[in-house]
Amino acid sequence: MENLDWDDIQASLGGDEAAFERLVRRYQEQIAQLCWRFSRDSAVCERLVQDTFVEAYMSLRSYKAKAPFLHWLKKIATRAGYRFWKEQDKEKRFVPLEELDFAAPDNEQELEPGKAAEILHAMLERLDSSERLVLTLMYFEDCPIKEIAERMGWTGAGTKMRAMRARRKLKKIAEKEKILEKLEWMQ
Amino acid sequence: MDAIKIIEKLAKTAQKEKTLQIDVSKAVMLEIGLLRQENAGMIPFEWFAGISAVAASIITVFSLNAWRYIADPFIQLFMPLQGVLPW
Repeated sequence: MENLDWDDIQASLGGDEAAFERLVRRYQEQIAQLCWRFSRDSAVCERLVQDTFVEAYMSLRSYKAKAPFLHWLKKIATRAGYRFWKEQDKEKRFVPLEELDFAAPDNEQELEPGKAAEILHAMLERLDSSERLVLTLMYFEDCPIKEIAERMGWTGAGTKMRAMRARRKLKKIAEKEKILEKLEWMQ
Repeated sequence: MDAIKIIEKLAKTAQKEKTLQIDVSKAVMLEIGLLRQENAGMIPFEWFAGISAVAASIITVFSLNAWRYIADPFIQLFMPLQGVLPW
C-alpha cells in the first residue's frame, strides 16, 4: 500500500492529476472520520476534508516519506481542524447540555455511539481550543500524548500539561452539569 | 463512579460511531485546478529571487562608481579658506 502511495505521490508531483485523485479516494474516509471530531456539521466537515487535501497537494514536495502518508495527512487535517476551532473561538456558542438526550436506550446497557459522541463533543467544546484538541484526539482517536505533540509541533511536556489541565476542567464541567446523575444508568 | 471514568466510558462508545461517507475527490481536483490556473500567471519564487539578485548587483556596481565622486560638503565649505585659516 505504501509503495502504491509513493508511486502516486511521485506521479502527482510530475503533474498526473489522476494519481492525486486516487490518493484522495484512498484516504478521504479516514480524514473525514478525523474531521468529524472537529465539527459535527457535515458541510463544515466536508470543507475541512477538502482543505486538508488541497493543502496536502500544495505541500506535497515537503513530504519525505519518513512516516506513512496517512500520518502526514492526519497532521494536516488536525491543524486545519484546530485552525477552524480557533476561528470559532471568537463567536463561541455551546450546545446546551440540557438539550441532549441522556436517556438509557431500551434493553441496552450502552448509549448509542452517535449519541455518546454528541454528548462528549458538547462537553469538550467548553474547553479552550488547545485543551479540547488534546482530549478530542485522546478520547476519540486513542492518540497517545507523543503523537498529539508531534502532530501539533508542541513539546511532550507541554501537551501532557494541557491534557492534565483539560481533564481537571472537564471533570468540573461534568460535575457542574450533573453528568454523573444524568448517566447514572451507565455506572 | 468518578466523572472522568464516565467520560472515558462515553469516549469508548463514541469511538464506534460511524461517521459520514463523503466523496470530495472531484471538488478537491477542481479546487487544485483553479489554484494552478491562478498560480500559472505568477513568477515562481526562485525566478523572482534570481531577478532581484541580478537587479541588486547592477545597482551595487553603479553605486560603487558613484561613491568615488561623492565629496564631503563640509570639506568643500572650508576649501576656499585653506590659506586664510591658521590650522
